[in-house]
Amino acid sequence: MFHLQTNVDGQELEADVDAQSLLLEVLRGAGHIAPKEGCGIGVCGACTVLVDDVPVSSCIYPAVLASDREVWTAEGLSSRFPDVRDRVLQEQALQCGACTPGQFTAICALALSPDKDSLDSEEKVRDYMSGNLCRCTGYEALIRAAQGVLGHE
Amino acid sequence: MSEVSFSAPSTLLEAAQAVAEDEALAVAGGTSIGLLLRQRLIEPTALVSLHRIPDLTDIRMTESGELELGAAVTLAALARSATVRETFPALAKAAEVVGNARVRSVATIGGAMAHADPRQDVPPVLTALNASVHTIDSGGSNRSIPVREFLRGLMDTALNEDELIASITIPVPAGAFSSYFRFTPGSVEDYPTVSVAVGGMRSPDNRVVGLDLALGSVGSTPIHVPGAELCNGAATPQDIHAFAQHAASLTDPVTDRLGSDRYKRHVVAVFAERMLNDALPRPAEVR
Repeated sequence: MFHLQTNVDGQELEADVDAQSLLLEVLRGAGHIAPKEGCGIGVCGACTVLVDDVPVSSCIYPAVLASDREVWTAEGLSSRFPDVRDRVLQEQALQCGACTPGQFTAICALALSPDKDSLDSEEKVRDYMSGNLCRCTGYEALIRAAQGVLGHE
Repeated sequence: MSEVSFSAPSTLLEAAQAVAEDEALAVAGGTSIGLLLRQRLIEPTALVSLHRIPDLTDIRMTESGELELGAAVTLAALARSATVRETFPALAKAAEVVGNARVRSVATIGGAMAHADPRQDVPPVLTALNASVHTIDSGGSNRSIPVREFLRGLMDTALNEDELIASITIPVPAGAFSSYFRFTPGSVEDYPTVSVAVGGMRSPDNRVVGLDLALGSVGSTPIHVPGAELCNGAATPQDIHAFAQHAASLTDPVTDRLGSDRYKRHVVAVFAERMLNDALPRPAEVR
C-alpha cells in the first residue's frame, strides 16, 4: 500500500492506494465525481482530468503518479476558468451530460496547451478535440465553444 | 491490497538503482504502464517515476551531428519541435497521429521503445532512420544499442532489468529525408492497420544514395528492409514495384479486426510502392 498525497481542485487529498489503483477510482472514491468512466481504455475522454495542467485519461493513469502533483477535475476547473465555463454554457455545448465534464476539461486543456497557437483552423481544433467522444453526437456546439475559447470567432 | 512503493528520484542513476529491485518498473507518462496495469498484465511492487529528472525532456543536435532525444520527450513535444519537424518530418508526423491529445501530452518516446508494442507509430520511423537507444544501468554503465537490435519481439527489448533508457539518437546525414504513412481505415485514434516508414539521404545531384524502409504493425517488431538496390538513380518503376512486393513478403501480419494477414500484406505493398515512388526521383529529375 502507498499513502498518496496529492492536490485535487485546490484541496489536499490523501488516500491509501496500491500499484493497480487508477486515478479515476481514487478521485471518485474521494467524492470527486465529475470525471466519469466511459470506455476504460483511454479512448473516449469521459475521465479526462488535468495533472500539472496536462490532460490525461484518469481511467488508465496510475494513481501513484499523481503524488505531489496538482490534479484538476471539471468541478474545480469551472471555478478556475469561469470564462471557459460560460462559453460552454453560452453555446449550450452539452446534451445528455455524460461526456460533458471530460469535454469541458479538454477545452480547458486546449486553452492551457503549448500547442494552442498552432491550432489555427477549425480542422485542427476538431482534431485536438477528437479524443473526446459524445454519444449524442453533439459536436458542433462543442467545437464552437472550443473555437470561442481560442478567440476564433 | 498489494504492497507497492513509489519514488521519483532526481537522477537517472538513482532511478536505475530503484528499478533494479524485484518487479520495479520505471514510469514516465504512464500511458503504457496504465494500460498494462488495467489489463492485469503487470503487477509491479514499485513504480519509479522519471518526471523529476532534469534533461530527460531535451531535444538537441549533438556536436557530432546527431539528433538527440531525451527518453522522457513526449510525443506532443516531438510533434511540436521545429528541430524535429525540419530534420525528420516523418518522426514529427508519427508522433502527431498517436492516439489522442491526452496520450500525446504524456506518452514518451522512451516509453514507446520500452513498451515495444508492435502497433506503435514511432518505432518504425526510428527503425528506418537507424536510431540508437542509449541506456544506463544500476552500476552507472552505459550502452548504445541500435533500435533494429533493441526491439526483439512483442513487448520484448534488449533492456536489462536494472537498465533504463536515457536517450535516443538519430544520425542526420546530409540530404536526409524521411516519410511516414499509417493506414487506418477506422477512427483516427486507432492503431494503424499497417504503417510504412521511409528514411534515406540524397546526394547534391538529387540521387538517392541511402534508403531504408520499416514496416509497422505487421510483425512482432518493425520490419527493416534495406533499400540499397534502389539507390543511385538506377531504379525503374518496375524495380520499385518488385521491391515493394518483396518488402511485403517479409512481413508476418496477424489476422484481426483490422484485416486479414493477406489484406495487410497487400496494403503494405501498395503503400510501400507509392512512398518509394514519391521518394525516388524519376530518371529525368536527376541532374
